[in-house]
Amino acid sequence: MPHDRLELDVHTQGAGESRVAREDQLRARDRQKIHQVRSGGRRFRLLWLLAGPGVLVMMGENDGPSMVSYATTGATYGIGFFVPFILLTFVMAFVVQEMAVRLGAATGRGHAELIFQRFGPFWGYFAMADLVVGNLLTLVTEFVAIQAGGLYFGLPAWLSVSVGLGLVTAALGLRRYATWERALMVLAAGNLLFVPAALLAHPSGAALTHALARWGPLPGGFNLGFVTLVLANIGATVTPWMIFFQQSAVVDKGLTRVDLPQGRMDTAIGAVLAAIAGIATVVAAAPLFAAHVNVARFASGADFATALRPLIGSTGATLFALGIIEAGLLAAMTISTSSSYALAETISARHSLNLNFAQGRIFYGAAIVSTLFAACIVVIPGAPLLAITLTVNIIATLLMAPALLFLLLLVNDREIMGSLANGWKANIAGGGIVLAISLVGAFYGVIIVFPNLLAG
Amino acid sequence: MHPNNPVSEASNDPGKARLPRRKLGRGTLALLILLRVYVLLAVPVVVYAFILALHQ
Repeated sequence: MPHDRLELDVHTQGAGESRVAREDQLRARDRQKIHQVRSGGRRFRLLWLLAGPGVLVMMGENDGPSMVSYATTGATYGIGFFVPFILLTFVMAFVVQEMAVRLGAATGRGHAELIFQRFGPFWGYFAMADLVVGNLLTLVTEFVAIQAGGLYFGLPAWLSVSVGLGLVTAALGLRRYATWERALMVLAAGNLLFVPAALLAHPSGAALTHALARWGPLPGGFNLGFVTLVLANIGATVTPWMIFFQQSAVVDKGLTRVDLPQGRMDTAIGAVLAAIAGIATVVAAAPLFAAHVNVARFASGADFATALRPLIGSTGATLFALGIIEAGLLAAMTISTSSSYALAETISARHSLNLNFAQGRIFYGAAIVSTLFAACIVVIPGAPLLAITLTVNIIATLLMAPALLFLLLLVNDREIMGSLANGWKANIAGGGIVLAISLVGAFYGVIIVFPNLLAG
Repeated sequence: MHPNNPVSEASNDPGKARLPRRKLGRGTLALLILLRVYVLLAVPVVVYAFILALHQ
């Protein structure tokens, strides 16, 4: 049995170095288990072992600002156009993230690493600037969500933010990719708290069916608010950090070409679960639309929970508030890790959640510093947190177009992808997404600058 | 890398050989520049919308 016992004391680098790095040993142990399960023909066990990056990236993207966007959508439009639209955005997310999985499995390299090596530092630094700006802003909004959820339960802002910061740091302290991943998957299950909250809103099955079949109704029609929510809902589903995170996580987990079917399935399961949670949030907030509650003055996601209490009951409102906290916490963990992977790949430092702190000072340091920065912004008195929250998804959508172009160029690069390079169908889907996102973003820009265009 | 060898599969060494730089065609370069200009134009618009939202 060639893989029953691992020989870890092998040469990996120079002639003088005879020990395999700890991170590689841990990954090798995971790979050995996968080989055994695969050769035993246990398909579900194999999927369980290989799942993780896809579920985490999709559930992680159901973050604080995303849930606020979905809740605003439900409270503004009720059950209608946006229910099938959210499903469509998750189809888009699957198309994009499947390419990231393929790229990671085919090359064994992270996204930032590939951009720098294949396109050079000029384009590499642009891509990194987009990622850093987007990630820092988004991290702030995750702590806004944690703080807002805490306020619903009467916790002071400093306490919930400190607990959030402590938990993000503690997760990094696991120093083991597999344990970190499983711990976050347990946390990600909390995203489904929005499902019972939606059921407590007693949604009409007929309204849901009508919305899915007819893409309507769309009360108020086509206006700036509608375009803003379209952009915010796209930004709630496809963002640059997801590409960087999933590709690096796939590499850190050790997925290879033979694991692609499971990698795709993992991404699809994540997309379905996240779509269910997203639509559930719209449905849970829909009673606010029926009650004509004006959500424009809401300060945070917790205000939705407070306003929903008389409509869906205190249990539903509590589930909603807990869901907002979970959304912020999980995303803070995944987004800070995405920054760490990208930064370490850029400067060729070691990058793995299997590293210990001494080996991964830069890797762990980037996550901790960016999380600390975001936490500090949130506790500044008078910081415009709601405006930041609503703006973040729009910025994410605008930054997505160039990020997607890099992704498309890389997955079409036959020198690194070989037989796993994009086919024409994937290129049409990817190109269509770039075009659609760019056009919606440009349209948003035009109506912001010329608001009278839609006045008539 | 040895196929199906967990140790060689597991290596994530950042010191591994760099990939060669890819030569970008004119069309690709034009697209990259176009989208970069798009972002540089869009960000001030979003900042403007952000400031408008603060004053509403």
